[in-house]
Amino acid sequence: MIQATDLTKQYGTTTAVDRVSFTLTPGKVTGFLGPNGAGKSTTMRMILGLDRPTSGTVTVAGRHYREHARPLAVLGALIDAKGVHPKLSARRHLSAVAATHGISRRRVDEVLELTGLTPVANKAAGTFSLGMGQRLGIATALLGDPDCVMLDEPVNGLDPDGVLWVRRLARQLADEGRTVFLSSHLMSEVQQTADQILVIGRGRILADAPLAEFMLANSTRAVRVTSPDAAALAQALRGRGATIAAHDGDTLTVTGIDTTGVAVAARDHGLLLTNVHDQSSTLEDAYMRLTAREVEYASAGTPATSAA
Amino acid sequence: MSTLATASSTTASSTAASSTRTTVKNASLAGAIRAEWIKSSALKGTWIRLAIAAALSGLVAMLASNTIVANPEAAVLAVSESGSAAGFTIAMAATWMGLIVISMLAGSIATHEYAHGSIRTTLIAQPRRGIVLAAKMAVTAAYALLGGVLCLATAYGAAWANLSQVGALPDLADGQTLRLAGGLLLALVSLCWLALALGHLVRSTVVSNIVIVAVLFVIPSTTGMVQSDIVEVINKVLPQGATAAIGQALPAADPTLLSPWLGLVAVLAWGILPSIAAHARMRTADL
Repeated sequence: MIQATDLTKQYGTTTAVDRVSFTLTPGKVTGFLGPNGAGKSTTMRMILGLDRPTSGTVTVAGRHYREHARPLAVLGALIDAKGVHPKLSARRHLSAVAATHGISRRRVDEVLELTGLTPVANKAAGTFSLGMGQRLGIATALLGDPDCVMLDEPVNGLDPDGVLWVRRLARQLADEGRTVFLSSHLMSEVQQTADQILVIGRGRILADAPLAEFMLANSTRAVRVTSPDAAALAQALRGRGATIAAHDGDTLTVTGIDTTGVAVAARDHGLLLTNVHDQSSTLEDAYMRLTAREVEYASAGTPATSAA
Repeated sequence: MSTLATASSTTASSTAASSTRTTVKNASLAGAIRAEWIKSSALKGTWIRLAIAAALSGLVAMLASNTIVANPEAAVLAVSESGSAAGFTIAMAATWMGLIVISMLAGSIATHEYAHGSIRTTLIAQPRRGIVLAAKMAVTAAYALLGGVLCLATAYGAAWANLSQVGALPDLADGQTLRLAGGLLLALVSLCWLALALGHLVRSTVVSNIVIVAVLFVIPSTTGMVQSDIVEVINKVLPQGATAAIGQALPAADPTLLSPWLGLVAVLAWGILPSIAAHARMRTADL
């Protein structure tokens, strides 16, 4: 279990993490979502004691990470995929980490095998692609067979097969009763794996809920329909309990009814439809809406810019 | 990459963790030292630097001993100046040159970790930063001692023929020679700790090297040109002066040197005081 209470980190006048509180429980994958610069990595570094909180506390299994006698058995973490000496081989890097806790060579071989790095185990880490670096980082995180696993942007640079592998691995680790904490700036990356969603923006927690609850609360269903008899269609749809959210010429945006319901209403009233389109927002849309005002660095013309 | 991915997908679906829980011991100082040794000894650069240090010491010793042979007055001086210790002075001077390269290695044990971001992995594996620093100091001391012995041996070997010719070959069983050798090796360790501490403090190998060169060569040659009480004290506590103090036979009578024990304290202070500062910086630094 990882528990943060009023965790705050300030760099000069900038507040990177602002009174963040959450509890991560075993057996669940928690997706830590937020735009770049939202405070995800800073929060993770504070969990590991790499950054000192300005105020607040964070504990892993009831203690500060540095207070554990066997830290790698408590929490395994991938923080920086490129955080390896480029001239060290993957095996040497893992052996060095293993040596700190007297972990056997057999376990080093196991995690190399698990992450698919056995064929390149003796190659210098500096020759690795970003994806291979991520695998080495994940291998390092799993070395101590930890109760909690924390991976910062683990699918960055991975090919589709690698992304699928990370999803399966996270699921499996959680099914084994471990606490799994994955960060990402993309909802699509975690929505297929996470049980719980923690959304952060400009250092503040914007949402902390089970995935299903988050979807229910944040997704909207809408149908965009075009008909030369739009006014009559609008009346027919209202009669079926739908709401006309927008009426622009021949085009209606309708909520409270799905595409089949629209088609049935049109058929029953003998109305012609020229276009029917499901405009239900995805979870990604919900997340983008939630974080639009919290994006630290937005491109010109993005919703974040217009919202700000 | 596709082979890699296929292999990993297969294994991920079958084994996410070890079938039985992995044996994980407490994170100890001994474990941290092993980790630092595994990392540094795996790098070719480590051994290349030690080889360069030894070669440089040998070259300097050969050139210095050639000068003695070529200059009969210098040869007479070398023989008249307490016999074997005068010959050993050449090997010592050559080893100080080798130290420049060894201290580069010491500094890089810290700076490489910051440059490559691997300091985070190191501190995740051993979050007690004092233990990480102590482990790095232990490994640095091992390289300093190994490098020092290599440099001394190479310098002795390179100058052997010339020193034999003028009768200034160091007597390795001589008390003063042994004290000087011990003091020199201690100074090498201490100055390598200084380089390591600077690596943690400024995170730059270049700055660390500049400081070492300044302490060993620039400051002594500058203060040698000035006559004052303060400069005299400075010369006494500089590494070479303090090391020479350790080499004195008791009772020590040279007014230009510290007493042997104070020399020992001064030599150790060059490494330990900056290490305390480095620890303070490490304890509070965000990484």
